[in-house]
Amino acid sequence: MDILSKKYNPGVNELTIDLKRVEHEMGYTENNITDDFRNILNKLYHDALKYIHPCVVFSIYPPGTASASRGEVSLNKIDFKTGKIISGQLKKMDSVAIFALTIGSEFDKWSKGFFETGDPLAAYIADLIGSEFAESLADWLEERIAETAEKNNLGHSNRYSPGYCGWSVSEQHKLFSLLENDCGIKLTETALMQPIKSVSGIIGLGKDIIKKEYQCNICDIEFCYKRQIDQNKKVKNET
Amino acid sequence: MHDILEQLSICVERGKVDIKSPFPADMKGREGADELTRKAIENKIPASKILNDALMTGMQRIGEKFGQGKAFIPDLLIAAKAMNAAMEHLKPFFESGEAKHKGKIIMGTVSGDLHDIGKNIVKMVLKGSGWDVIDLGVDVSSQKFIDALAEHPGSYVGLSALLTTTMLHMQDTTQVIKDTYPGTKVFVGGAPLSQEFCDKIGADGYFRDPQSFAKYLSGIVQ
Ligand code: B12
Repeated sequence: MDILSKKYNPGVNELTIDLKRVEHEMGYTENNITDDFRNILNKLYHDALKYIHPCVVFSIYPPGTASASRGEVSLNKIDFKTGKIISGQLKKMDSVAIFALTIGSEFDKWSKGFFETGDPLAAYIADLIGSEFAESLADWLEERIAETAEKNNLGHSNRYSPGYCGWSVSEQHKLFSLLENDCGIKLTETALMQPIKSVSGIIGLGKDIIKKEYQCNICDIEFCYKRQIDQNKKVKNET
Repeated sequence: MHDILEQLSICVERGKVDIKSPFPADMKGREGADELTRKAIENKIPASKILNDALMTGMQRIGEKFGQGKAFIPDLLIAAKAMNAAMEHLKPFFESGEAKHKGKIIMGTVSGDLHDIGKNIVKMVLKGSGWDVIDLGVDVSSQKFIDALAEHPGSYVGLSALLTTTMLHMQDTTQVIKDTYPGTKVFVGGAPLSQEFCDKIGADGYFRDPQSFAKYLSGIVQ
């Protein structure tokens, strides 16, 4: 098996987002959001669909090319200093999928435009909608990688991104040096991707690797939003 | 209190911009901050009274609710929008000195960073709380902050960043500002920031949300 590189432009209709989660990000629960805000959210959601142009690229490396140990993930001659949390989760991997994705630059222009026309509320809500779509596109991509892995009798891990779980965001440069970046995502010197609603990362593959629920107790970063989601789930389950 | 002023404060608190605006639903068709401010001026109510007894009161009420977890960023933003509609009518009074801002604050997203949603929200809330905000935009170099301080001496400064890579630039910017204009107060915020980081770089305060920042600033100028 050679390196398998793919690019997809899924339609926005292939992505689903949960507007309840956006309401939650806005600060509300189902019981205290007003119809006014819900209507604005619904309208912006429908308008947003026109401006979202998803693009994903990924490369799957053949078995035997990747390994993880002691805070590092090695791929061919490149060592990613992922930190021990991620390398620990990936220790059974023997190959890897690397990816980058974006919902496109038109979305950025649209959502920022609201500030210029004096509607900061719309700008804020549109921005949250964009973030949800970027996450949803990452889920979509994970499924494609999982399918390909399964065809080759390989299991897959969660996705991990530079900037999470102790992996420095500056390592984006190493990741991008390996990617065939046909989605036109620009990486600044400071490792910021443009368009803003973009995500990059890796997924470990291997015969013995299995995806575990995203476990927040493996990591100690307090401000991480996955932790917030995790805690919300717990609160929901308890009530 | 004057009836117009009380109504105006409610319009600001609830985010009722003008008569055309469909929000909030229960105030549909009623006059909003725009019309009522015009009326107040026509009724010869002093601009400073309109500002303090109506507009600021409305913003304060919604700010308190935010502090108690009963209102959220969207509530602050619609209130700020109503406030800005009112402020348009007060512009001439600010120019003549009859009405005054609480002070000036220079805001920008630091160099290497292009994320502006957080900074823009803070800007809106501060403007709504009566501050004159000079927005330098994104990817702002230390030199640009220095130039802005030369143009607007005595201003406060607010820095924003999204990533741990770019938040490092807050350190040089804070340093350069403090070296060039000692005594300038520099405040920081953004997703990866913490009080600890703020202390480490010698900034004067970290705030997690715009409201606590606005409240703190109002406290230091009182
Ligand atoms: C939504 C989100 C995304 C979305 C959208 C990103 C975007 N920028 O629009 C998506 C999924 C695309 C994404 C991608 C990434 N993300 Co992200 N993301 C978030 C999340 C959950 C919220 C960010 C946000 O937009 N919040 C809403 C806005 C309004 O809030 P804000 O900008 O923070 O501003 C508020 C306050 O901070 C404050 N404030 C802001 N500025 C100032 C200034 C002053 C003076 C004051 C007083 C206050 C203040 O007031 C504002 C209003 O309340 C945060 C975690 C979190 N809970 O904050 C991570 C977070 C920002 N992401 C992170 C990372 C690492 C990434 C990626 C690099 C991951 C990757 N490799 O793909 C990419 C980078 C994207 C890029 N363009 O380069 C890290 C950054 C830290 C770091 N390690 O560098 C965070 C902190 C998550 C973490 N690890 O815990 N992300």
